[in-house]
Amino acid sequence: MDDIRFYEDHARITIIDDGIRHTLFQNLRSVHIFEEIIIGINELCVKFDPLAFSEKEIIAIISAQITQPVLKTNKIRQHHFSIDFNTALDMALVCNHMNMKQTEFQHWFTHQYFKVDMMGFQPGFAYLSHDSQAPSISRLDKPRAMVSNGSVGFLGKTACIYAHDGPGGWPIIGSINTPIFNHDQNPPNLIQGGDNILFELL
Amino acid sequence: MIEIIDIGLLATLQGKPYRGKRHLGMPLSGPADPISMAIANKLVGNAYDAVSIEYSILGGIIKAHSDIVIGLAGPIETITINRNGAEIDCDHYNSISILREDILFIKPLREGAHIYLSVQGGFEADHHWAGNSTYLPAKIGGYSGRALRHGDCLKYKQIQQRENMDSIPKCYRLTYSNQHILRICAENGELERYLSRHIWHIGRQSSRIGYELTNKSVKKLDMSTDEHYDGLSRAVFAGTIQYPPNGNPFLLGVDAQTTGGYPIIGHVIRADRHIMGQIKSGDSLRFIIQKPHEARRVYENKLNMWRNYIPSLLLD
Repeated sequence: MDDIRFYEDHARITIIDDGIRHTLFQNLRSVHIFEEIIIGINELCVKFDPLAFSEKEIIAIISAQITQPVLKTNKIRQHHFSIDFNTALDMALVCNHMNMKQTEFQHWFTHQYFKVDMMGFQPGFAYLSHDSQAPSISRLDKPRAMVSNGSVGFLGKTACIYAHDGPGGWPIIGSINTPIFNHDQNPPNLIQGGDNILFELL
Repeated sequence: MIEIIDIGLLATLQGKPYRGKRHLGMPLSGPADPISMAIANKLVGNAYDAVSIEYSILGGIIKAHSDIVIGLAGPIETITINRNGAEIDCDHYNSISILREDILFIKPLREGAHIYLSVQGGFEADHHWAGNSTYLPAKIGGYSGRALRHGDCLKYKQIQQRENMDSIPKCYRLTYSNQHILRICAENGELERYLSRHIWHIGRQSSRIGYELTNKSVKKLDMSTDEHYDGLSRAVFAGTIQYPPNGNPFLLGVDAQTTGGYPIIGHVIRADRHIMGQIKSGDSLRFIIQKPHEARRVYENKLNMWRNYIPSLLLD
């Protein structure tokens, strides 16, 4: 635990180490006392009932769980998604930043292991990262009013998958056909924080 | 059944919010003003979070296809029933019996933003996880995940009608204004001064997702020196105040996204988040600073006060 900051009904815990952060996330979920536990990039945030727990009690709970191994054996899940680069809206922009030709970029992208850092923005929306060197690419100056569900966004060091049709500002480099959020299923989200994803050429 | 004749600006079904799902990107959603919805439900003997119609900004018109008892709460000016051509004025602080073929007109006050209509038994709605509220961005919950439209017929759970009508006690009748005060905890002393010294205006971008705060006379903040801002997306909640590059703080509402990359400069305290549900574009807003321990005490007092009337009420 690198730092913890308390607010009225939530606390932000800075944890740089991916393994510790994901382990603590799983362990805290298993104790069922927090209203929300949200894993982020370098951070875990817990929301609690301020009338039920003091700051001291919250610190004690977190400290107890951070030293525990993962209580539930959660195998890291691997997903293989076919990506269609023909639906790319911003391939030229991305290739320019990456200093690659289109075919080079497609080869590069389909040979990265992406980790799901967190879910957010919309239900089922996944923030992904990889370990390779890449430049940072800015979001679009003017966000699109409509991005189709399944679209894959790319900012160089990070990527995302849109789970729903809606507005979006990430450069789009393709799309997957696999629905990642289906409200008729339980749970409705196909992927979750900590999963690994490999994109394959359609 | 109840038939929707006019929805005003926007009407949705709201009920149980989606608690505990933010790690999946699912926001709380639910009623923008949970206390007003709980009052409407209380009037008809429902659980405080039974599914109700939420009208945004403008009122609405419904037609009854059977005899029912309804409750209304929120910024209401008048309730009128057209019964066989005759106009009947109703006291909206009481539960109201409407008869088959009655047409009910809800006229809102200029102040406030959301009115709730509950029916004895509660409306039926789509259920996901433990929630059933309409969340429009993901098209889930409520009435097929969408806003209500003219001609929609809403079903409700049939229960034996109570004989006694209910009335909102005077001490629990809310008042509405277009000048709001919210108590907040700010990230530091400088931000406390920045947020609390000015009157903020609610910009055009205001909805259940959030409220843009503007004041042309306020200087832009330099967030580059903020030790806690690293540009990474992190968890946000209803009540979080973000600071986008345009310099207009953005107050997140019940339907706001679950993560955000803009600097976070404050949080509306838990006790006051229900008030956000009655804010609309064109209103003004002042912030009062609280320390976290004060915020907890205020929350406890407010919750206890409301639970004397609505025992199971939860405020998120």
